[in-house]
Amino acid sequence: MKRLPYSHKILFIEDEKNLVDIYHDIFEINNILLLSTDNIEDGIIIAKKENPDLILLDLILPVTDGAVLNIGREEGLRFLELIKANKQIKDIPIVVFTNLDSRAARARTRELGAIDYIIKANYTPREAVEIIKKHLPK
Amino acid sequence: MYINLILLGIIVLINFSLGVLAFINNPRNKNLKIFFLFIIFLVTWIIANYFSDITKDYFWVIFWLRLTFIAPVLFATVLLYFGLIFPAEKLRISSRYLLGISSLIVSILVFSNLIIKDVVIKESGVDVVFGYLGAVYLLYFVGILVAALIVLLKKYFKSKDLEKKQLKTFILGLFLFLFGATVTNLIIPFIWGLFEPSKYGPYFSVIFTTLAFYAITKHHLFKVKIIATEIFAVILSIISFAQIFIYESWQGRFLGTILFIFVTFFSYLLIRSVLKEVKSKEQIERLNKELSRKNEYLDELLKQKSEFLHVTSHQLKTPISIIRGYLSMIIDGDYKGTKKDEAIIKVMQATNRLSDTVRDFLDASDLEGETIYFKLEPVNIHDILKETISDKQILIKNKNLQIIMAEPHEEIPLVSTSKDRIIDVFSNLIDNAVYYTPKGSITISFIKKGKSVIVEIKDTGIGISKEESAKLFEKFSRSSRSKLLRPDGSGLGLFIARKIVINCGGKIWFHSDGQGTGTSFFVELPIYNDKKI
Repeated sequence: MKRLPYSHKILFIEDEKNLVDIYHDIFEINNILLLSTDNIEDGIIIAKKENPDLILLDLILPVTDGAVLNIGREEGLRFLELIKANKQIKDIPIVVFTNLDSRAARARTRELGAIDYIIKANYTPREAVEIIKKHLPK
Repeated sequence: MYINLILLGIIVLINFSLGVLAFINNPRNKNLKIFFLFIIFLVTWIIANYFSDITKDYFWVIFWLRLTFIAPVLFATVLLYFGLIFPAEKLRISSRYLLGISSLIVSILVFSNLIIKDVVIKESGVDVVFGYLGAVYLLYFVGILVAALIVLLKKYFKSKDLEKKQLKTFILGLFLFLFGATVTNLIIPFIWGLFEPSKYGPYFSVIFTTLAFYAITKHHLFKVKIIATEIFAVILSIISFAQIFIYESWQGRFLGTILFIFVTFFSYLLIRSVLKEVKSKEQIERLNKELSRKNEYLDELLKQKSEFLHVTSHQLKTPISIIRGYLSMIIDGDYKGTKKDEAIIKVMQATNRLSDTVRDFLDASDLEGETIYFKLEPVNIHDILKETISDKQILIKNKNLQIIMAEPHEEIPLVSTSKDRIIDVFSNLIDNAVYYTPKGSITISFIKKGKSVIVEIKDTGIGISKEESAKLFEKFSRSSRSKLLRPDGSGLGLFIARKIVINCGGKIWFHSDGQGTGTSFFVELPIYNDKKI
């Protein structure tokens, strides 16, 4: 069976393999290509190379120094700062897709230019995809 | 001559007043006795100095002169003693006697002809002719003095906070005094043979006693108020004492005396009430400080708790979103056949992870904060490790690892620990070894060392890098490499293990030569009452 060309391309920065698998499948069903990586350095490289239509960003990602989480110093926030400083990719819309339910993090990501903040556990993949699709260019 | 006498009188008076004031300030001050001794020897020295200068009678000249030689030795001895015991050290009785007796012998020798052979009385003053042991005296005095200075300076560099400040003031006073006294009483007389300037030595003692007084009373927060009151009271008493002599008639003198007694008595009451007030102010200040410190601690604790809660909710939501994700895909019919079966297994795994995470969080939350000691019991750790390994057979088999339990060379004594909790520790360490060892073996061995037993769990796994090792025992600390091999870890295992071992009175540490070199974890537990199995 010949498959249709993808309508959109999304970059998913997420370190939880099971979630990457699930969202890969659900986006595939929606005819959207999901690229993924578990760290922000690769995220920048892929964003530059692939120029995705949207970036789905988890906030809590492991850091090489061993710490998983530093409240107020999450890796996802660092990604937002990095991408903002990068001319080539600074206009790619970013949706924060996390389980960190913190008012401070929400405010900070908005400041840094994220267009939405979705708590993963609150939605089924289908519901989440519907929300994300609204942010995709028509 | 008359002016000299008045000046000396004033210096003696100031020295004594400082002693009395120090006593009124804090009669229980542990340095008070030593301060008094300093004053006594100084005043002796001053008085002897004066009389040796004004007396022309040969017997008395030599008597007073000898006293001027004894007082400095005793002063230096007390100084060395003070240096040795400050701030709260005990000196061995033998050392104390050695110091005391040797100074006493030197002091007695000063009264023989061996040290001071003769004096030559001149118009301008007195010249001393030294005996055979003159040099010995000088060496002993300088030796003790230098030793005291070294000890004091050493203590100064070691001390901190208030003690450092006290010593600084004390040593400054001492140096100024010694400088003045050495120049006038040692350098000039011994090098140029001029004894005339030695009478100015006493003036420098005031610098020392004032600064020493300041040092020992310094810890009073509101000291300025007390010292001002004290000075005022002393001046008032001196004036009222002096006015007794102004009156010619006995009635006048009688009234003057009564007035003097009244003034002195009320001055004493005044100082006491000021002291009382200051003390209660200090108490309030201290309580305030303590309260704000406790407040800061509670704030910090609250912050930690709220951060912990944030992370907790995040870590719990991750498996929930996985469960919800897979289940909804199954319900919506997106997953069918094998894909569906795989999804169900993933749901099961995520459920296990959820339950483990909840357990770890409760453990971590229980163990956080101050150390709570568990109820300890005699435990055979050899048996416990055997059981733990047999519980993990499937896990080990799946990874195709070899697990070796090294047979101990000698009987392993019972250790004192909490059985239930130490099982958690070993289970966690063996889990880690299994997860982070892609191939090879895990070796468990026992070492008896002194009054404790060390268990070593050694693997041939991924090792620990320098960056990772710094944070290994912290909460939620997981490296990206560990996440790769064990994606469902809570990041709390080693934090909990460490807390448990510490609460059991043991130690836990690890050794790894870096990435890819394997890791050894060590748990040291105290032997239970030295009883053998």
